[in-house]
Amino acid sequence: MLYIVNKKGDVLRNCLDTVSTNDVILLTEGAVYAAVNKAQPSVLSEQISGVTIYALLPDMQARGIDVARCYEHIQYVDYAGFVDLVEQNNPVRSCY
Amino acid sequence: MKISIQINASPYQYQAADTAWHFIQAAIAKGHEVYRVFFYHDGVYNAHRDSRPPGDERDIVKRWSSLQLEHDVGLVVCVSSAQRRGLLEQSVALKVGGYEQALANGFRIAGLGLLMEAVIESDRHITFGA
Amino acid sequence: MKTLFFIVNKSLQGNVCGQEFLDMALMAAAFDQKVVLLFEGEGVNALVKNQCPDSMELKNIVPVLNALPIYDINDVLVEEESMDVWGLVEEEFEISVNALSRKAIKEQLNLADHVFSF
Repeated sequence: MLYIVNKKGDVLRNCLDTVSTNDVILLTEGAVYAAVNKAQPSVLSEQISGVTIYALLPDMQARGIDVARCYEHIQYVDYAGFVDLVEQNNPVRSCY
Repeated sequence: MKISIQINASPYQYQAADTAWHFIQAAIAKGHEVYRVFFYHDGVYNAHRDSRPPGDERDIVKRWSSLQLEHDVGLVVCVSSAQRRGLLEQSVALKVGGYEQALANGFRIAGLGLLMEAVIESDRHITFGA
Repeated sequence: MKTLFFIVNKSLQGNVCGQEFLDMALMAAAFDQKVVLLFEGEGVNALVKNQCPDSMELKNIVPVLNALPIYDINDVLVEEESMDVWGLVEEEFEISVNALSRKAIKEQLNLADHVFSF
């Protein structure tokens, strides 16, 4: 299953509560801030076994977030990659 | 891949319409078919004919109209969502408002049946919300 | 026939989008699709008895919930873990539901054709 998450906080937490092995999460819009490695532990500090987390690069760039500031396990896609994720995964759940 | 899109959020206040538009551009560039874009809830404001953003900003409503013109992507506004929010189709607008219609070029107004038809026809249905 | 999941994870009250979301589920059923309605997280509260929105002229969604079987929507799932968080039991719900674990629900959800979320 592909989760498209556009908000951090409760929306992202609720998504993380229900993910299972082979699921994919794509962080878009404001949710990309959850990928930033912050001083305190956060919901994405640790890689979730069996789950791949992507962040949408144009949203990172729009917000001036450098990949170097983010958790190592995060992967990145552009819009073409976003389309590929949709093609490769079903169903697709938008969390907003 | 045949894709249908649902937009639930108003333009400018939320990024949903932008994310959806860029996704659609990328999907078309990759050779996929975008079967229909259905505007629901406050998403109907993406069809507001009288939207006038400042000249140096992207014109989201016009962008949708161009998408329909250039790529023949169907743009459907939900009639019940639209009426509730004061976007009236031509016959109703003339009757109650005395004006032509509130929808921008390229959009048509219809019921949830067209959403369901798109969902049934498509390999993927992606929602962009607030 | 496709299997469509409609997931409610917030309160349906106070926001016309809740009512419009249920309209989508009803339309899907009218188009002979298999509709599964799932209540999770805060959304489990949408099912409780004794909802009285009338004094505020807000829409009452309870008649819609009671009408689900008329539309052939008989698969109403509720996440057990969410019921525990909110301290709710099935007897407190307006309609009869199928309470399942998060894991069991996810197994069904993974097989859906399309997912709608509110």
